[in-house]
Amino acid sequence: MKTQFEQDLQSDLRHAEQAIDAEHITRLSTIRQQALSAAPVSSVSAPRRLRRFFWPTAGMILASLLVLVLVSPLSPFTSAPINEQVSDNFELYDDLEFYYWLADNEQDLRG
Amino acid sequence: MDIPAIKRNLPIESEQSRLTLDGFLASVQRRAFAMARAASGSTDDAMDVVQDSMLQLVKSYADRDEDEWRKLFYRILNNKLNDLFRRRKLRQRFGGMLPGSHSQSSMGDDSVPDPFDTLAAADGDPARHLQRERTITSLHLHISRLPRRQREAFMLRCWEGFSTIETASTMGCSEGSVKTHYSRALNALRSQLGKPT
Repeated sequence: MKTQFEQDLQSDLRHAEQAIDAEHITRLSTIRQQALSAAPVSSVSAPRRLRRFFWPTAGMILASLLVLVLVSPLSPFTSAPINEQVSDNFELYDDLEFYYWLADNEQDLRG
Repeated sequence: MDIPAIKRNLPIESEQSRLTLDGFLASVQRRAFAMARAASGSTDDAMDVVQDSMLQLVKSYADRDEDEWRKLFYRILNNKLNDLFRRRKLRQRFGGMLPGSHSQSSMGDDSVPDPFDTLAAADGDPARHLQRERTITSLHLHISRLPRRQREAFMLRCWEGFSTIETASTMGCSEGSVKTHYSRALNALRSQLGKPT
Protein backbone atom coordinates (compact mmCIF):
# COMPACT_ATOMS: atom_id res chain seq x y z
CA MET A 1 0.00 0.00 0.00
CA LYS A 2 1.56 3.24 -1.16
CA THR A 3 1.33 6.44 0.87
CA GLN A 4 -0.01 9.64 -0.64
CA PHE A 5 3.55 10.97 -0.87
CA GLU A 6 4.67 7.91 -2.86
CA GLN A 7 1.65 8.16 -5.15
CA ASP A 8 2.37 11.85 -5.78
CA LEU A 9 6.01 11.11 -6.58
CA GLN A 10 5.07 8.30 -8.95
CA SER A 11 2.48 10.49 -10.65
CA ASP A 12 4.98 13.36 -11.12
CA LEU A 13 7.68 11.04 -12.46
CA ARG A 14 5.36 9.33 -14.91
CA HIS A 15 4.06 12.71 -16.03
CA ALA A 16 7.68 13.70 -16.75
CA GLU A 17 8.09 10.60 -18.96
CA GLN A 18 5.18 11.73 -21.10
CA ALA A 19 6.71 15.20 -21.41
CA ILE A 20 9.83 13.91 -23.18
CA ASP A 21 10.08 15.85 -26.40
CA ALA A 22 9.69 14.42 -29.89
CA GLU A 23 13.36 14.81 -30.75
CA HIS A 24 14.41 12.53 -27.89
CA ILE A 25 11.68 10.01 -28.70
CA THR A 26 12.99 9.83 -32.26
CA ARG A 27 16.54 9.27 -30.98
CA LEU A 28 15.27 6.54 -28.65
CA SER A 29 13.49 4.80 -31.53
CA THR A 30 16.67 4.96 -33.59
CA ILE A 31 18.85 3.43 -30.88
CA ARG A 32 16.19 0.75 -30.31
CA GLN A 33 16.36 -0.26 -33.96
CA GLN A 34 20.16 -0.23 -33.84
CA ALA A 35 20.10 -2.50 -30.81
CA LEU A 36 17.72 -4.91 -32.54
CA SER A 37 19.92 -5.01 -35.64
CA ALA A 38 22.76 -6.23 -33.41
CA ALA A 39 20.75 -9.27 -32.29
CA PRO A 40 22.54 -12.50 -33.07
CA VAL A 41 20.26 -14.66 -35.20
CA SER A 42 20.62 -17.69 -32.94
CA SER A 43 19.58 -15.78 -29.83
CA VAL A 44 16.18 -14.87 -31.21
CA SER A 45 14.75 -18.37 -31.43
CA ALA A 46 15.71 -21.01 -28.88
CA PRO A 47 13.69 -23.91 -30.42
CA ARG A 48 15.38 -23.31 -33.76
CA ARG A 49 18.81 -23.49 -32.09
CA LEU A 50 17.87 -26.74 -30.39
CA ARG A 51 16.75 -28.25 -33.70
CA ARG A 52 19.98 -27.16 -35.35
CA PHE A 53 22.11 -29.02 -32.81
CA PHE A 54 19.90 -32.12 -32.51
CA TRP A 55 21.02 -34.14 -35.57
CA PRO A 56 24.81 -33.56 -35.26
CA THR A 57 24.66 -34.45 -31.57
CA ALA A 58 22.52 -37.53 -32.16
CA GLY A 59 24.87 -38.65 -34.97
CA MET A 60 27.93 -38.31 -32.76
CA ILE A 61 26.28 -40.30 -29.97
CA LEU A 62 25.28 -43.10 -32.39
CA ALA A 63 28.79 -43.24 -33.88
CA SER A 64 30.32 -43.43 -30.39
CA LEU A 65 27.99 -46.28 -29.45
CA LEU A 66 28.85 -48.17 -32.65
CA VAL A 67 32.60 -47.85 -31.99
CA LEU A 68 32.07 -48.97 -28.42
CA VAL A 69 30.15 -52.07 -29.53
CA LEU A 70 32.76 -53.03 -32.15
CA VAL A 71 35.81 -52.48 -29.95
CA SER A 72 34.46 -53.77 -26.67
CA PRO A 73 36.08 -57.03 -25.45
CA LEU A 74 32.58 -58.28 -24.64
CA SER A 75 31.47 -57.71 -28.21
CA PRO A 76 30.71 -60.78 -30.42
CA PHE A 77 32.58 -59.01 -33.24
CA THR A 78 36.03 -59.18 -31.58
CA SER A 79 38.46 -61.74 -33.12
CA ALA A 80 38.82 -64.24 -30.25
CA PRO A 81 36.78 -64.78 -27.15
CA ILE A 82 38.52 -63.44 -24.09
CA ASN A 83 38.21 -66.71 -22.21
CA GLU A 84 40.07 -68.62 -24.94
CA GLN A 85 42.91 -66.10 -24.98
CA VAL A 86 43.23 -66.20 -21.21
CA SER A 87 43.20 -70.00 -21.00
CA ASP A 88 45.89 -70.23 -23.74
CA ASN A 89 48.07 -67.88 -21.74
CA PHE A 90 47.60 -69.95 -18.58
CA GLU A 91 48.69 -73.12 -20.41
CA LEU A 92 51.80 -71.32 -21.66
CA TYR A 93 52.70 -70.23 -18.14
CA ASP A 94 52.04 -73.73 -16.79
CA ASP A 95 54.49 -75.25 -19.31
CA LEU A 96 57.05 -72.47 -19.01
CA GLU A 97 59.49 -74.59 -17.05
CA PHE A 98 59.27 -77.32 -19.68
CA TYR A 99 60.14 -74.84 -22.43
CA TYR A 100 63.13 -73.54 -20.40
CA TRP A 101 64.30 -77.14 -19.91
CA LEU A 102 63.77 -77.78 -23.62
CA ALA A 103 65.86 -74.76 -24.56
CA ASP A 104 68.66 -75.72 -22.18
CA ASN A 105 68.79 -79.31 -23.39
CA GLU A 106 68.20 -78.69 -27.07
CA GLN A 107 71.88 -79.10 -27.87
CA ASP A 108 72.12 -82.33 -25.90
CA LEU A 109 69.05 -83.76 -27.54
CA ARG A 110 70.40 -82.94 -31.01
CA GLY A 111 73.80 -84.36 -30.14
CA MET B 1 18.74 2.45 -39.14
CA ASP B 2 18.08 -0.32 -41.63
CA ILE B 3 14.95 -2.23 -40.79
CA PRO B 4 14.65 -4.05 -44.14
CA ALA B 5 18.20 -5.35 -43.59
CA ILE B 6 17.21 -6.72 -40.19
CA LYS B 7 14.24 -8.51 -41.70
CA ARG B 8 16.47 -9.96 -44.40
CA ASN B 9 19.06 -11.26 -41.94
CA LEU B 10 16.72 -12.91 -39.49
CA PRO B 11 14.82 -16.05 -40.39
CA ILE B 12 11.08 -15.70 -40.94
CA GLU B 13 10.21 -17.82 -37.93
CA SER B 14 12.12 -15.45 -35.62
CA GLU B 15 10.33 -12.38 -36.95
CA GLN B 16 7.67 -12.75 -34.27
CA SER B 17 10.40 -12.82 -31.57
CA ARG B 18 11.98 -9.71 -33.02
CA LEU B 19 8.66 -7.89 -32.98
CA THR B 20 8.04 -8.98 -29.38
CA LEU B 21 11.45 -7.70 -28.33
CA ASP B 22 10.89 -4.48 -30.24
CA GLY B 23 7.55 -4.03 -28.49
CA PHE B 24 9.16 -4.60 -25.09
CA LEU B 25 11.95 -2.10 -25.73
CA ALA B 26 9.45 0.45 -27.04
CA SER B 27 7.42 0.02 -23.84
CA VAL B 28 10.38 0.75 -21.55
CA GLN B 29 12.36 3.31 -23.55
CA ARG B 30 10.65 6.46 -22.22
CA ARG B 31 10.88 5.42 -18.59
CA ALA B 32 14.42 4.12 -18.93
CA PHE B 33 15.53 7.38 -20.51
CA ALA B 34 13.73 9.47 -17.87
CA MET B 35 15.28 7.39 -15.08
CA ALA B 36 18.76 7.59 -16.57
CA ARG B 37 18.40 11.34 -17.08
CA ALA B 38 17.18 11.89 -13.54
CA ALA B 39 20.01 9.78 -12.11
CA SER B 40 22.81 11.07 -14.32
CA GLY B 41 21.66 14.65 -14.78
CA SER B 42 22.67 14.56 -18.43
CA THR B 43 20.57 13.91 -21.52
CA ASP B 44 23.49 12.64 -23.61
CA ASP B 45 24.75 10.31 -20.89
CA ALA B 46 21.18 9.04 -20.37
CA MET B 47 20.85 8.31 -24.08
CA ASP B 48 24.15 6.38 -24.04
CA VAL B 49 23.10 4.40 -20.97
CA VAL B 50 19.77 3.44 -22.53
CA GLN B 51 21.47 2.46 -25.78
CA ASP B 52 24.05 0.26 -24.00
CA SER B 53 21.31 -1.33 -21.91
CA MET B 54 19.18 -2.15 -24.95
CA LEU B 55 22.19 -3.56 -26.78
CA GLN B 56 23.16 -5.79 -23.89
CA LEU B 57 19.63 -7.08 -23.42
CA VAL B 58 19.31 -7.90 -27.13
CA LYS B 59 22.74 -9.50 -27.39
CA SER B 60 22.73 -11.50 -24.17
CA TYR B 61 19.16 -12.12 -23.11
CA ALA B 62 16.95 -12.05 -26.21
CA ASP B 63 16.33 -15.80 -25.92
CA ARG B 64 15.19 -15.55 -22.28
CA ASP B 65 11.55 -15.72 -21.31
CA GLU B 66 9.65 -12.50 -22.02
CA ASP B 67 8.61 -12.26 -18.38
CA GLU B 68 12.26 -11.94 -17.36
CA TRP B 69 13.11 -9.08 -19.73
CA ARG B 70 11.79 -6.26 -17.55
CA LYS B 71 13.83 -7.22 -14.49
CA LEU B 72 16.90 -7.99 -16.58
CA PHE B 73 16.62 -4.69 -18.42
CA TYR B 74 16.43 -2.61 -15.25
CA ARG B 75 19.30 -4.54 -13.71
CA ILE B 76 21.39 -3.79 -16.79
CA LEU B 77 20.30 -0.13 -16.69
CA ASN B 78 21.41 0.19 -13.07
CA ASN B 79 24.74 -1.44 -13.87
CA LYS B 80 25.31 0.91 -16.80
CA LEU B 81 24.50 3.90 -14.60
CA ASN B 82 27.02 2.67 -12.03
CA ASP B 83 29.63 2.31 -14.79
CA LEU B 84 28.90 5.90 -15.79
CA PHE B 85 29.35 7.16 -12.22
CA ARG B 86 32.63 5.23 -11.88
CA ARG B 87 33.93 6.82 -15.08
CA ARG B 88 32.90 10.26 -13.82
CA LYS B 89 34.65 9.68 -10.52
CA LEU B 90 37.77 8.62 -12.39
CA ARG B 91 37.61 11.76 -14.49
CA GLN B 92 37.20 13.94 -11.42
CA ARG B 93 40.14 12.22 -9.71
CA PHE B 94 42.53 12.50 -12.62
CA GLY B 95 41.25 15.83 -13.90
CA GLY B 96 42.34 16.78 -17.39
CA MET B 97 44.66 13.81 -17.85
CA LEU B 98 41.96 11.60 -19.35
CA PRO B 99 40.54 12.14 -22.82
CA GLY B 100 37.04 13.63 -22.93
CA SER B 101 37.37 15.04 -19.44
CA HIS B 102 35.95 18.37 -20.45
CA SER B 103 32.48 17.03 -21.01
CA GLN B 104 29.89 18.09 -18.50
CA SER B 105 29.77 15.97 -15.41
CA SER B 106 26.53 16.59 -13.63
CA MET B 107 23.31 18.46 -14.07
CA GLY B 108 24.33 20.30 -17.17
CA ASP B 109 22.19 22.70 -19.11
CA ASP B 110 20.54 19.88 -21.06
CA SER B 111 19.72 17.79 -18.03
CA VAL B 112 16.11 18.78 -17.58
CA PRO B 113 13.65 20.28 -20.01
CA ASP B 114 12.93 23.93 -19.64
CA PRO B 115 9.54 24.23 -17.91
CA PHE B 116 8.63 27.12 -20.20
CA ASP B 117 9.08 24.88 -23.27
CA THR B 118 6.22 22.66 -22.22
CA LEU B 119 4.08 25.40 -20.73
CA ALA B 120 2.45 26.28 -24.02
CA ALA B 121 1.33 22.71 -24.57
CA ALA B 122 -0.11 22.37 -21.08
CA ASP B 123 -3.74 21.59 -20.52
CA GLY B 124 -5.62 23.41 -17.77
CA ASP B 125 -4.07 25.89 -15.38
CA PRO B 126 -0.62 27.07 -16.61
CA ALA B 127 0.42 28.12 -13.09
CA ARG B 128 -0.32 24.66 -11.74
CA HIS B 129 1.52 23.09 -14.65
CA LEU B 130 4.54 25.30 -14.05
CA GLN B 131 4.51 24.36 -10.36
CA ARG B 132 4.49 20.68 -11.29
CA GLU B 133 7.38 21.13 -13.71
CA ARG B 134 9.37 22.83 -10.95
CA THR B 135 8.60 19.99 -8.58
CA ILE B 136 9.74 17.44 -11.16
CA THR B 137 12.96 19.35 -11.85
CA SER B 138 13.66 19.52 -8.13
CA LEU B 139 12.76 15.83 -7.73
CA HIS B 140 15.19 14.81 -10.50
CA LEU B 141 17.94 16.82 -8.83
CA HIS B 142 17.34 15.16 -5.45
CA ILE B 143 17.12 11.68 -7.02
CA SER B 144 20.53 12.21 -8.60
CA ARG B 145 21.94 13.08 -5.17
CA LEU B 146 20.64 9.95 -3.42
CA PRO B 147 23.20 7.27 -2.51
CA ARG B 148 23.42 4.57 -5.21
CA ARG B 149 21.46 1.78 -3.53
CA GLN B 150 18.76 4.15 -2.26
CA ARG B 151 18.36 5.59 -5.74
CA GLU B 152 18.08 2.12 -7.27
CA ALA B 153 15.50 1.03 -4.71
CA PHE B 154 13.50 4.21 -5.21
CA MET B 155 13.52 4.03 -9.01
CA LEU B 156 12.46 0.38 -9.06
CA ARG B 157 9.92 0.47 -6.23
CA CYS B 158 8.29 3.86 -6.64
CA TRP B 159 8.91 4.80 -10.25
CA GLU B 160 8.71 1.45 -12.05
CA GLY B 161 6.27 0.03 -9.50
CA PHE B 162 8.08 -3.24 -8.78
CA SER B 163 7.12 -5.17 -5.65
CA THR B 164 9.68 -5.56 -2.86
CA ILE B 165 10.45 -9.11 -4.06
CA GLU B 166 10.95 -8.00 -7.67
CA THR B 167 13.12 -5.08 -6.56
CA ALA B 168 15.25 -7.38 -4.38
CA SER B 169 15.69 -9.80 -7.27
CA THR B 170 16.66 -6.98 -9.65
CA MET B 171 19.06 -5.36 -7.19
CA GLY B 172 20.51 -8.71 -6.11
CA CYS B 173 19.90 -8.19 -2.39
CA SER B 174 17.45 -9.23 0.33
CA GLU B 175 13.93 -7.87 0.74
CA GLY B 176 14.97 -6.37 4.07
CA SER B 177 17.73 -4.38 2.38
CA VAL B 178 15.28 -3.10 -0.22
CA LYS B 179 12.88 -1.94 2.51
CA THR B 180 15.70 -0.15 4.32
CA HIS B 181 17.08 1.56 1.20
CA TYR B 182 13.63 2.53 -0.02
CA SER B 183 12.54 3.91 3.33
CA ARG B 184 15.72 5.99 3.62
CA ALA B 185 15.28 7.27 0.06
CA LEU B 186 11.70 8.34 0.76
CA ASN B 187 12.70 10.06 3.99
CA ALA B 188 15.52 11.92 2.23
CA LEU B 189 13.24 13.05 -0.61
CA ARG B 190 10.49 14.04 1.81
CA SER B 191 12.83 16.25 3.78
CA GLN B 192 14.52 17.72 0.67
CA LEU B 193 11.23 18.49 -1.03
CA GLY B 194 9.91 20.01 2.19
CA LYS B 195 6.98 17.61 2.51
CA PRO B 196 5.46 16.89 5.93
CA THR B 197 6.00 13.37 7.35
